[in-house]
Amino acid sequence: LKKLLGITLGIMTALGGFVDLGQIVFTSQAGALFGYHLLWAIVFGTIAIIVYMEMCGRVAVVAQEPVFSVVRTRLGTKLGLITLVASNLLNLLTCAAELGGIAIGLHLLMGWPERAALVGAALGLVILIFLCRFQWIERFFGLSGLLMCVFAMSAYCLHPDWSNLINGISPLWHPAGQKSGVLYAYFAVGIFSAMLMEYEVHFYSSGAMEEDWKPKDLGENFMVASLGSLLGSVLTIAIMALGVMLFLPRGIFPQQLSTAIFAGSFPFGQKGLILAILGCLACIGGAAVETALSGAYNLCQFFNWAWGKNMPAKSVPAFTAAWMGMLLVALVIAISGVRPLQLVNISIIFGMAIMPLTYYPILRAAADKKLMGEYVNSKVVTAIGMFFLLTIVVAAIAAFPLMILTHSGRP
Amino acid sequence: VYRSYRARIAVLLVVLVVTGCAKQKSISRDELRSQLKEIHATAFEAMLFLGQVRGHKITSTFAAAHIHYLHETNQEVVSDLSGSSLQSGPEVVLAESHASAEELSKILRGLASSIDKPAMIENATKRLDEIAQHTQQLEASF
Repeated sequence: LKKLLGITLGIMTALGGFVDLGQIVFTSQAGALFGYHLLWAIVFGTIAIIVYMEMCGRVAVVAQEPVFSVVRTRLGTKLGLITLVASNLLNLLTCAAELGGIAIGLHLLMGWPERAALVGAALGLVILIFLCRFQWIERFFGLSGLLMCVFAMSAYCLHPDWSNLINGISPLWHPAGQKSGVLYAYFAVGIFSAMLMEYEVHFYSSGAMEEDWKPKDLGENFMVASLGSLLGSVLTIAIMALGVMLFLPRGIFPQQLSTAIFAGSFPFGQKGLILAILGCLACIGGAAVETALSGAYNLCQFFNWAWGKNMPAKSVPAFTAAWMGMLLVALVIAISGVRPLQLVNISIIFGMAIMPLTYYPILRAAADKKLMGEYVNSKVVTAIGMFFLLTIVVAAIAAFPLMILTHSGRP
Repeated sequence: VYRSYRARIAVLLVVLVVTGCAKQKSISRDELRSQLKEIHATAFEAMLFLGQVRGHKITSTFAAAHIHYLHETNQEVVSDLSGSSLQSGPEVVLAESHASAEELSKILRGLASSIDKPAMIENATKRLDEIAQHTQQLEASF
């Protein structure tokens, strides 16, 4: 049972990364605009995140070096510091957006005013993180995130066109017209970026150390990374399929979380709707916790300060202050009135632009024979990692111009 | 001479600021097409959603909140279109788009407060359909 519950680290990491506020709306917009033609971006992103999640888990276990320590030693202090500032800015923006998303979810569920829900959500998360051990946090969000399966059931019950869906795996289709082409590229980059958000690997590698994994657990590492990511991927495909079946034929362009939620329970009654809201709340809440904790992990690992959610708060004061500070500043940003979906759009593109700085050191460390010994990357894994790194670099260069050209994805 | 020179510059600055502020927003054909798409997308979404409300698949809390969000989205289109002029093309399309967006806002505002009244939903669905069809035609003719 303990081993089975260990998978919740992968589930929480992947759901918080894949099925967060941005991805829920973004993917359903992609489906509403381009049908299944962007499905390949989900498949591509899933393979990439499995490869890198496994690598960073392995480095953390074998070298006892979490990602940000790797970043500092491989990139040097100056470039490492730039990566730290950029990553934590990204964490902050994403955390603010996710808090806003929780407030929207609570407003939809209970009718509470959004600002009160925002403050309540931030306070609730602080209490939850403070009181629970790491394992219980991941179990809570990982298992409650499974309620998102209602989206997959909804998509299945609406009878998707399976042959069209499978054809979407091929990236050979391109839309006619320059404007549509640019928009298509923007959504492809956005989906890929949202699936590889930096905080996923930061959280996952730190989680592996929190759970005290040993080299004998490396088989479990691959299983946890794969199963969690595959589940996240299936749910993302379901959200896209709902966009294709419900919105594309009617010319609807979903711009609200609530639109994606009512699609997620479309064939069902009010109970299904409540499950869909709760599932979204779990995933978005998980993403908020991931970003807040990742910010604290990054800071402490970079400066070599004591860290760990399982340590008494008094013995890791910088770590405790950092995650609380992250949530507090994120609350201030969210309460200032900036729209959560605007924030998340910016963070997805910004995250893509700085992504090579996170993934390059991981690949270098995992391929380093001196550091990893018998657990070093095989040549095949290094080649796959290099291929995805090149793709990340190309997407990072294209991200900002695409955002400007498409006015952040406006059709 | 020096004082009159300064006074002239001051007057010129004031004139520039005032004319700058009073200048109409101008939007391109592409932007107007994008706004038209947004109007009929919102109208179609509201119709789809009201179908779910009629089927008792949506809680009243969720229904009121979602209609409010749709209204907020549409208000952005209304404010983008109001006081704008078209860079090139027939101004009548812009005026009709603006009127449609305002009509849509009115319907959504009304729905938010009476989402539990079936007659109101029935009537709103018809009007939403008209707006969606009309804006689609405008977009096609443009």
